[in-house]
Amino acid sequence: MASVLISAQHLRACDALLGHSMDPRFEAVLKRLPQKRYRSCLEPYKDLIREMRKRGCCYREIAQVLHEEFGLKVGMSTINDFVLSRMKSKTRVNGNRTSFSGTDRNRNTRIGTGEHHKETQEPARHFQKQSHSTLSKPAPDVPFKYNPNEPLRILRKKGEHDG
Amino acid sequence: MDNDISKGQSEADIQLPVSVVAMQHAAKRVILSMGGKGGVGKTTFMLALAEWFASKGIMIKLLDLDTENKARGSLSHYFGRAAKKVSIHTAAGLDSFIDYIDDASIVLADMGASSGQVTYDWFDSMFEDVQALGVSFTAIGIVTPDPASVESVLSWAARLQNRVQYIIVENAITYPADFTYWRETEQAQVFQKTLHPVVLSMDFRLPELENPARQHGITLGEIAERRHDVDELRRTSLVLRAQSYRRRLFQEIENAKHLLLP
Repeated sequence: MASVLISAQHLRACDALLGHSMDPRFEAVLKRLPQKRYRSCLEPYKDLIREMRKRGCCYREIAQVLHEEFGLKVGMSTINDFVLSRMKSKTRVNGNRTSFSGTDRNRNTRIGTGEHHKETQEPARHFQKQSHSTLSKPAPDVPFKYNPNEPLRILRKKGEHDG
Repeated sequence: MDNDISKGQSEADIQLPVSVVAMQHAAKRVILSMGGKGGVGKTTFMLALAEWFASKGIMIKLLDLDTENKARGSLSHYFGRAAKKVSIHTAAGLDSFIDYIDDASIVLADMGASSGQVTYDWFDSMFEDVQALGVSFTAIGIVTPDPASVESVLSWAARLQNRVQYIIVENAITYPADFTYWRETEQAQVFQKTLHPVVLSMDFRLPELENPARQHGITLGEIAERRHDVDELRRTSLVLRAQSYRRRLFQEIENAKHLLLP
């Protein structure tokens, strides 16, 4: 018990010195935990998917190639989600959005040095054009709104109640 | 018969007698099937539509833009060279709408299951200019008991909005058919109230009629009039079935003819 008290006092002293708010024991536990960031099963194929998208392949064709060539069976919606999440996760560097359709080398170049070579900008333009058309460009008049990510909701008939 | 849409026609156009329906020369219409979900009966309905136009003596241009349907099941399988096959996965793939609209006042375009993004992009960039030429658009969506077919139609409608007029075909691919997801879901009802589609029905078809017809590329009209040499489709009961299906389908199509003519 005494050792615990000493330890607690010691930790509080450390906290005060370092300005930490979290108990170091918790931090130690957290450090030991592996990085459990969600990784898509498509992660190893990102370069292939990116290239196929750049060449105008649809999600069905990509799914077919992944299945036939690599034995990976994924739905078109999975690929769509992967591509969209890749697009969303990119950050803006020097005012330019980095691109899912750019290579890692290009991305590092941009992030690290801020250089904007013609060949590295090209995929970014491609991405911006694509994302503009696929994500944000509305029809001129939008009387009908539909979110494909939401399930269809069956309307309750009169007389039907919960339970 | 001279006025048939027959296979192996030497001309790419479907040449039919003088139209029995007066058509305005300036007005033109592109009728396209909404792609998305595959296997819902898009081509089946477009075939029926082509036969309906033929029965009216109206000249149309058939475009087969369904690159997913490689062989059997595409418009080209039924109509041979009378249906012009076009790849839409090029920079200007859907410009074929414009290129062929001069050949006939009506273009009937059967889209493939993966044609959504190409079509949306084309409408976003070209619609206003093409509309200025006097071209109007009718989009045909097919819904089945499968909710994915409804989602597909709604996704297309959310992108095309009111730039097209809508015909929705309830295709009874099962018997009995349950269209709950089309008739009783909130999103589908919002679509119906907002964009006012004309809703048609397509009967459940017997597999013993449908399967050999698809296999041999025989249309309902050819079966109904025994204009083919496929023995299994010459049974009297199947001929009567085909006549019955065609008659009811044509009646349904009549209800939407204001969205089919220029």
